[in-house]
This record gives sequence, C-alpha cells and structure tokens, in this order.
Amino acid sequence: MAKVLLENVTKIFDGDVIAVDKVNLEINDREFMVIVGPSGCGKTTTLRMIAGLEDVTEGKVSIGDNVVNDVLPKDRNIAMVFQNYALYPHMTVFQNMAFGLKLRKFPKAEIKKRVEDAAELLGIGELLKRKPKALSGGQRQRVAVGRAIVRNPAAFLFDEPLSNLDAKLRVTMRAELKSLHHRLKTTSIYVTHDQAEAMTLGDRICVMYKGLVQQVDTPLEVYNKPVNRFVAGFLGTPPMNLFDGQLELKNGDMYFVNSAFQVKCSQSVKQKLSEYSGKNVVLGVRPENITMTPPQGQTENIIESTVEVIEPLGDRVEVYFSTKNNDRFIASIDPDIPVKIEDKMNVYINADKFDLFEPGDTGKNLTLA
Amino acid sequence: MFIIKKGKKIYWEVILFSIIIIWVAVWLFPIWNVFVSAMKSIDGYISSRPWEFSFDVNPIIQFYENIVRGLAGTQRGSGIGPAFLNSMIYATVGAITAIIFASLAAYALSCLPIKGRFVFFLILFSGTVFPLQIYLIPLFTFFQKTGLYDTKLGLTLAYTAICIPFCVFLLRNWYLDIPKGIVESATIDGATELQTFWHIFVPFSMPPFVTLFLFQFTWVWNDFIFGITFARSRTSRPIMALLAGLQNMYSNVGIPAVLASAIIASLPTVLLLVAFRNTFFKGLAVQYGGSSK
Repeated sequence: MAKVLLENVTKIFDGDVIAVDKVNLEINDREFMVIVGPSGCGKTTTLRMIAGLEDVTEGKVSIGDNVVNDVLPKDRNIAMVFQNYALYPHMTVFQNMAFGLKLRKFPKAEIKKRVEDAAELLGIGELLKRKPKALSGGQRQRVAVGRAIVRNPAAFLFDEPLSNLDAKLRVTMRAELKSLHHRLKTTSIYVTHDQAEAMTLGDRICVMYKGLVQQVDTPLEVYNKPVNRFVAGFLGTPPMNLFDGQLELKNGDMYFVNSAFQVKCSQSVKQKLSEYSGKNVVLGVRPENITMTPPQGQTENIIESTVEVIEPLGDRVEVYFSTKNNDRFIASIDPDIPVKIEDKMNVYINADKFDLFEPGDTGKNLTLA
Repeated sequence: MFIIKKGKKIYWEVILFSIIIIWVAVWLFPIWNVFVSAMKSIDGYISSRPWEFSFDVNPIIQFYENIVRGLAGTQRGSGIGPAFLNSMIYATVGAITAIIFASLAAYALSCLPIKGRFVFFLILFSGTVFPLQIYLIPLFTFFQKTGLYDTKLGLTLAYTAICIPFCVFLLRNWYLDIPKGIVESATIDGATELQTFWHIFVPFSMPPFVTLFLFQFTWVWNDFIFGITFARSRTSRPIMALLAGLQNMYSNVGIPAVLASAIIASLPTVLLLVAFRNTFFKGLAVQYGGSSK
C-alpha cells in the first residue's frame, strides 16, 4: 500500500494534442480516489500514465516514495482492472488469476492459497476451473478484480470496470467494490464517466475536463460546493439548471435578473459580489431546490413557467418546465404533488439554495469566493 | 428462396441435385481412373480401357505390388521411397520453421513499438507477390557458390524462406485482432514481451498455426519446380520431382506403378486435411476477415 502522487503530469500525443495538462493530484495511502469526467477529458490517459502504459510527457508520477516515470509497468507494483476485463481467453479462471504470480516465480503452494483466498472473497470459488467464455459478465468482472487482488499490489487501478455490465449488475458490483475496498484498504484509483459511481465509491473524487483537474474533494463537497460551472453541471442527475442573466442592485438588494424572472441574493452574497453588479452571470439551481409552492407571503424568487414533460420515477417526479423566454429547466418533486402537462405554475427557488457562476463553460463559482 | 409451390420446389431440387451429381462425377472420374489403373499389371493396363478393371491378375495383390515397385524402383530406375522421406522432412521442417519465424515477426510487426513497422511488413509481404520462378536463377547460383546445391539443408532453407511471407501476412492479421487490453494486462501482470508472446499469443494462435501448417505442408509437398532445380541426386530430391521421373527413357517401373505411387504421394496431405479439418476451417475464416475466435 502506498500513496500515489502526480506532479505537473502532462501528456501530449503526436506533438500537439494535449490530453492531460499539468495535473497535480495526491492520492493518499488507503484512499479510494475516483477520477470522473466526460469522454476525452484525459482521465483514462492519466490512469494509464500511473500504470506505465503511457509515457509521461512532462511531470512526475510517484508511487510510494519512488518516482516511477521510467519504471516498467511490471515493476510499479500496481494491478489494473480493464473495462473489457481483458481476461486471457485460453486460460482457466485459476490460471488467469495465477498468471501474474507465476511470472513472479511465487511458490506453487503460495499461488494456490492466494488464488483460493481471493476467489472465496469474491464468491467465485466454484468457477476456478472454467474458461472466461463460460462466465457471465459479472463473473468475468469478479475474475478481473481477483486477478488484481492476488498480487497484493501497492495500488489498484480501475479503468471504467463496470461500464460493460447491465444497469442492475452495475449497482450490485459497485457496492461489492466498495465493501471490498473497506476490507482490503488498498489505495485505489478508479476512472469512470458515470457520476453516480463517482459519488458512491469515492472517498474523494477528482473531476477532470479538457485535460485539466477542475476540482478534487469529497463527493458531498463537490456536489454542494462546485468550484465552477462545469463541475456543477456534470455532477447530479438530473443536472443542475443553468440560467443566463445578470446581477443588478435594486433598492439596496442584489438580484439575479433575466427577462423571465428575478432571484434575490442574500446579504453575504451581495457583499461578496458587489463588484459584479451589472455584469453577466449564470444562475445554477439544483432540481431538488425548486419547489412547487412558494412559502406563504413569498413574492420573490418565483418563476412563471409551463410544464412540458413529466417523468415519474416512483419515489419522485422529474418535471421539465419552460420559462416565459423559453429557457428550460428541471425540477425534482414529490410524487404527491399534482402536475399536468401544459399547466402554468409559479415555481419557487429556495432562498440561498443556488450558485452564481461566471459565464463560460468553466466559469468559476462566485458564491464560494 | 424459390419455395412457393410444392411442385415447383421439387422441380428445382431435381435440377440442383442433377447438376451436383454430374459435377461430382466429372471430378471423380479421373480419380477413379487412377485407382483402377493402379490395380493393373502393365499388360492389363495396355489391354483395357482406363476406367475398366482388368482381371488378368488379382487387382488387390497387383495394387500392392505396384506400390512396392513404385516405392523401391526397379533395376533401371529409382523408386519414390527415399524421396517420400525427403519430402516429409522438407514439408514438416519447412512449414514449422516458417511458422515459428513468421509468428515472431508478426508479433513484432503488430504489437511492438517499432518505428516504420508497416514498411517492414510491406517488404516481407512483397514475398507473396512475385512469381516463384524469379527466385530460381539467383537461388541456383547462390546455392552452387555456397555448396547448398543438391543438399537437404539447401532445399529446407529455400522452402522455409518461401513459406514465411504468407505466414507473416496471415498471423499479423490474426494478432491485430487480439484485444489490446489483453496485451496490456499481461504487461501489468509482469510478462516480458517474449513471455507475452509465449503465454498469450502462441496458445491463442492454434487455429492459424494449423491452417498455415496445412497450407505450407501441402505447398512444399506438391512443389515440383524447386525440387528439380535445386536437387539432382536421389538423396535430396523431393517426391514430386522423383514421381515425374518414374517413367521415362531411363526408368521402366510402368504406368500402373507410377499411378500407385501418385496415390501414395497424395496420402499425407489428404490425411492431414481430414485430421485437422475443423481447426483448418476455423483458421481459414481469418483470411477472409471472418472472426471465429
């Protein structure tokens, strides 16, 4: 077990495509770090550089106390689980799991013990004599994880390991990976584009976009205090609603104003953002912070809107609205509240439950400053 | 397809099967002639039509005698016996050596980070493009100067070299289909490049190996032109070269013995194909882009 440290790590492909741009990331010993981002954000390249499958163009990768830039993958003491499992098709489950140990010349008895222990831990003890093609997707995934475990490495690297599984199995395996980490406590780095996996698995998550690290923090901090508009929009299902508009001072109060509605800011926000008065900003509101009925006597923070689509999910209902100026937004509401398509409603944005961002896809969160 | 009315279907089937039966008959007729003639004495062969049995002697016993004559030869000519063994060596050693070298080359050309590896591949691949005859004169001169002319080693080398380009071509295609993740997984598991080749690629390549072995074995076994060009003596001439020389002005084993020898000479390739037909067709699918893994 060891901590993994990335310092100014950069990867440039073919001389001019910057896939990963000066990434600094510290993954503590025993920590479960999830790197999340849309496709092409550089997350997998980052992981492959840690594994040694890609050269580092600039910067330093350290595992434990050693800089491993020039160390071969096999000598980095890491194990990796691939998206398509990458099991050896001609070997049995036992041989698949034992392969790494065999190459490292472990004694036979030790190999047998380790493989059997890992198989039991993962509930695949019955399958040791089978070939991969005789296994289901979930079983293959377990074997791939088992192959990583038997090596007892300093760190596990996971490259979207659940994305080939069906939705239900993915949730089960997610929980299994979490409990496995709880038991083994091996430093883990997990790459995914699925924000639900990121939120549920990570001790901390690292959000990447366009080769840059946007934010590294615990899942709840990232969700509740996104540093910029990209992070805010990327995490959460349904995503955060974003409205263009500007800040205005009216009668001593600060308002977010656009042509359809206005939202009053708190005194602390007003103090922080006084210099932004008259400037364009983006308002971000999570779907769960929009209520159907304003509190008694409340006249601020109300959006006149029309119901366009209703998606009942059982425990809640997702309602798609459009405002007067045809901005669309989503509210996540209680299923008991009656709504119909084309209803005209006055919905309410909970006081102070919103963020303000600078314009641009990675505009910084002004309310945090 | 054309199954609309029952009557119409039967009508088509009759035509179809008639065509197939005629086709098969056309193909089998010469083979029948060979077998029937191989069971005749020289006199019987002269006095009967090729497709008729001649019962002047017991055909089974005569067949056996013809085989022995063909293998051992007569006072005035040599049999194909020693050449059968020579060709066995050329075809087996040539095919296997070629596959070993070609698989290593294909692995390097498909998986190792070699600069300009496609150019190397094209150079190797060009070996399948030119007609074989263009190698004859340069190789003949080369063999004479190096003392390889009329030796088993010389012919084995020539056959091996000729087999390599096609093997590289087929195996490279096969290896390019192996998922990259498996190779990377082996790298992380601690395998060196040679270990990855040995533990992952070789076991994975049995279908193309068998197909290539059959192809190259058959090719070497049936080769005539290299055999008569690069070897002169009985100790190194391959079977087809000797078979052609069984009946001529210097040899008098007789046509029935020649045909019996031809049957013997075609046995190994037929038996190999029968034995490995399943793997053979699996490997064949690779060539035409079908995946059968």
